[in-house]
Amino acid sequence: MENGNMKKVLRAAFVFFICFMTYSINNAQEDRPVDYIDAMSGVCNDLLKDTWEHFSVSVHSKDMQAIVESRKNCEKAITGSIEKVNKAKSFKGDDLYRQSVLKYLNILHSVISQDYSKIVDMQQVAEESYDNFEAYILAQKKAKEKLNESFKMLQNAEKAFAVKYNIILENTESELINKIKKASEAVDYYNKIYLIFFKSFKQEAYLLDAWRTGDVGKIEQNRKTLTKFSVEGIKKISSEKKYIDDDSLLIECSRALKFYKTEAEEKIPFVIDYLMKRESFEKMQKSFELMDKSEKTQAVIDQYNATVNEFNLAIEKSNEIGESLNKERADIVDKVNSVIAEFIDKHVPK
Amino acid sequence: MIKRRLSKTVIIIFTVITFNSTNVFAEKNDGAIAIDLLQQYHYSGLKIDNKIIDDVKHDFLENLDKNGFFFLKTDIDELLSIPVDTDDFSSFKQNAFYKKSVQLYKSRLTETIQIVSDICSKSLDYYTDETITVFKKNSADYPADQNNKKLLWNKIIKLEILSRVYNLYIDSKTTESMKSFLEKNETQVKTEVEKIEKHRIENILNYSEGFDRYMRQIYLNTIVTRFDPHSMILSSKQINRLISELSSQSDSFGITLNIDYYNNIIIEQIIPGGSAWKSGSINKGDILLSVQVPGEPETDLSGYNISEAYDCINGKSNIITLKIRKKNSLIITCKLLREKISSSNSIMTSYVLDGNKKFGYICLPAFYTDWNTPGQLGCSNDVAKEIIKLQRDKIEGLILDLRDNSGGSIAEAISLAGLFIDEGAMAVAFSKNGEYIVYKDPSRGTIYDGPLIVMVNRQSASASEMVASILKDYNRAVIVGGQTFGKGSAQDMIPVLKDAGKYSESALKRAGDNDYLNYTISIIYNSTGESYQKTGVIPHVVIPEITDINSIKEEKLKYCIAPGKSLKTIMIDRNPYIKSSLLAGKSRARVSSSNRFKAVSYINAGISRLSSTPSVFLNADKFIRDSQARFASVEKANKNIFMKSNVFSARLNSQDKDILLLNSFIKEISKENIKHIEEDVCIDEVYKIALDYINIK
Repeated sequence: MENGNMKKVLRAAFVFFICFMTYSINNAQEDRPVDYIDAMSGVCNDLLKDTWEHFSVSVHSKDMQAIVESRKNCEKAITGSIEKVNKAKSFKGDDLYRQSVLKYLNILHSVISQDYSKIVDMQQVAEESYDNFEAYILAQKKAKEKLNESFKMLQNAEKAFAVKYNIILENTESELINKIKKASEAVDYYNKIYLIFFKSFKQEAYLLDAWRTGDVGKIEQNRKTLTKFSVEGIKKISSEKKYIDDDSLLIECSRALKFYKTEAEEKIPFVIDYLMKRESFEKMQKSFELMDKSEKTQAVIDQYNATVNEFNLAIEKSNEIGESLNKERADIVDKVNSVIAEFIDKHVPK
Repeated sequence: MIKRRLSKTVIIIFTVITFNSTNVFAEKNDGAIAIDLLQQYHYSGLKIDNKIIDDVKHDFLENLDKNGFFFLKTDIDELLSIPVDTDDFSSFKQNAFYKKSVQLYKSRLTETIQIVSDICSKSLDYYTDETITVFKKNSADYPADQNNKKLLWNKIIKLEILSRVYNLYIDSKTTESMKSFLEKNETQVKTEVEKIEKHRIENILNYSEGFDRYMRQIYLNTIVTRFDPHSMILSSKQINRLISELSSQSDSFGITLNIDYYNNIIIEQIIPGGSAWKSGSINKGDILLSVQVPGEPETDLSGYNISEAYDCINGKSNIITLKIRKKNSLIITCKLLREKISSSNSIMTSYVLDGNKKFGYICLPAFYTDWNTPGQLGCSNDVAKEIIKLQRDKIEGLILDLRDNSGGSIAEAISLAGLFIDEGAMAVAFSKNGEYIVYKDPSRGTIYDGPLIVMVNRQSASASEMVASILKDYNRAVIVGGQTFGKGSAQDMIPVLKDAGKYSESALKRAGDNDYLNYTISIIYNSTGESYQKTGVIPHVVIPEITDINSIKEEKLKYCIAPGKSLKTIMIDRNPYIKSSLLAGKSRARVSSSNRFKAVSYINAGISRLSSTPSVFLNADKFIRDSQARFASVEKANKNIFMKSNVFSARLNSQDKDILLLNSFIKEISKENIKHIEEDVCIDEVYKIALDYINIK
């Protein structure tokens, strides 16, 4: 069965994992604790550049090799930092701060290398998810939560250390930090909109798969789900605000969701009708073959011809729908892809 | 649609036909390998020790001589006293117990042929006051000596003759007395009985692949079933026969046959889309009693081996009528048409029950296959299509009939339940060492969201119980009928090869013509950590059904696995609670005042009496009096149970109506099916329950 389907590959959702310390140490009153806090926060802040570079390549580059390379570099840098902190001693027996740095770095390493099983219960993730894609998204979400949590613990430990040793921490700004903040906002926005759209996109893939195998039950189940997801998606998109002055992502994702809704509600029923008529035709044909000549009366022949005609009309309609859906789908996926590329270029600094 | 009409020839159930299995398994068995594989992979984690060896010794002798017709008591004592150690246990050459048992069994079988000849060469006295005990279910009561064995066989032959003559008498509709009918026909029937009984024994002695191989097969399967009753050895021949029957492009009636432990020809598989499937009357495990070709006398299959039975149904005729004994002992006749089976055709039919409300009715007699058929859509797709058709008929509720459905693949059960559930986890399969798999709905979305009733009975097993359990767990359907069988275990298959490893495509390829070990790998639990293994699924509304005289439920099976409570529970998105006690109360009130259900109770009480006092008179006068009384009460009960419903009438769904009814054979079958639906007392009650369900929802 020709139903085309995803000729275009969509961009993946990006997960922004960079946490950064925005403190600098000022007004140091004791040398050794200041040196200690400086060394520890320095280890984390030194990684900012590596993680940012990896992030930037992942978002902007289309070269898979370059992305893999940048990940490796980033992992190497984190491993180096872990080694440094491992070698460092506690501060006069006070090891809480160092341990929280270590924990954070280890989680960061798992996140960057996408080895979520070390920090997330993947069995539970699999049980809670419908498919591998959902499991991946859920694992990312849980990993990000773990990372944020460990970062907060690190911040708290750092603050406690500063208070204990009478160190004042001051907020600092830098060009890199500003870039990261801006990128973080844009990527968060993009992820939110993209996932609303992608839920239906993925559901349509299941529908097309069922269509390909002619499994009427699965077609109907997936059709109903696509209707539900696209309607929910349209509603969610309509309640979202544009990003600064850019509503391109909202417009294209909404257009795509409307396409899915029409497909599921109006077009696929004809496909189901065709499959049902095919079954009727096959049953009819079989009955006809089994009949004796005497049984093939004019009424029987008329009935046979009527079934054949209905079947032919249904084939025609189904093919017509398949072709027009393929065209429209290809166009929509193209548009969504290009609008994503433009959005990233425009709003995520390099 | 299962014909549940009691047969007029119900007396045939008294014939005691309890011989040995001639299952065609284990071509080249290797006991040691099978035991290793079982100890490695079987759910129970059982290890062979002296207790297991003792059990196997007892079971082996029981399997050889289920009812104590061949061995003497002294034989059994002598054989059981032979020691077997764990090293010799699986060796056919070194196991002295095994060797002696086989040798003695052979001589006892040969000797029995002579006993049958001797008895049948003399005139028999049908007027002595004596009885024979039937329905022995557990340990065999072996004759004390040769003389007792001869007396026993004398009784067996007399019972066979009396039962057959009585059935002929009923069928002949003659006005003469039974006594004179017996006198006239005794000689001929005795000759037949002698032939049949000897043939049964000769079938064992002259087993096509040799007596020794046959014995090894029984011994090996005795070991395997010691692990649990659902593990077994299957030969490549057995598997290939099923597969070739499925893929066959030749014409067929759509059934495969096997022989059970009682030497009955049983329906091993009904081929989806085949004539037997469409008839809706035949289920896996039914016993095939006789075959009739138009214009020829009925052929009684007693004593036939498989190839003889196949020859009988695969003659020249395109139409055959089978006489079948259902698992609940009712006897039905079923007409089949020889035809090509095409998997591309839909093989299911759905009906609309028109009354106060319009309900859809779909009967699924079996899940399509027990093995994987790549690329072939399963029965859930066909159920889905029927539901779509029924929805076009604007049904207000759906009845899914899974009675007598003995199961199939777990994947199909999950897909079928998934048609009614949006998404989520459906079951957890725990294997050895606490490892588990969560089965989830494979497709988001539903086919049908309206009121759903699922019909089950004590013969609903395995996959059909799983569907009922899942839908009950989700509060998605009202489950109605009898408590189900209780097979909540899952099996996997591996070739019996030294380094087989777990099931894999390459391992199966290497298996060639080796045997396969079908073993229990896991126990199925629901979301709350409960399992229907052993106990079965308890319906929301229990309605009486005609009891199976040889009732077997999982919990009665030797070595069945008792599930513990699972520690794993899963969150599922349940539907609102079903007011089942309200529905059950209303149904109970109706059932208790219904004459039709009173007749069901009457039959059940009779069956229960029969089971508790399983003696049959061998005095012709008393036998006749007893049989006639039973016949009359069955006739009366039949009249009261089977009558057209006064709350609904059934018809084919609108889409199929015009098409299916063009063919005269299908038209005839459809008419019959509609009649059975309309006369089924349980469907009648389910229709009323469905009305209540809609009203209280």
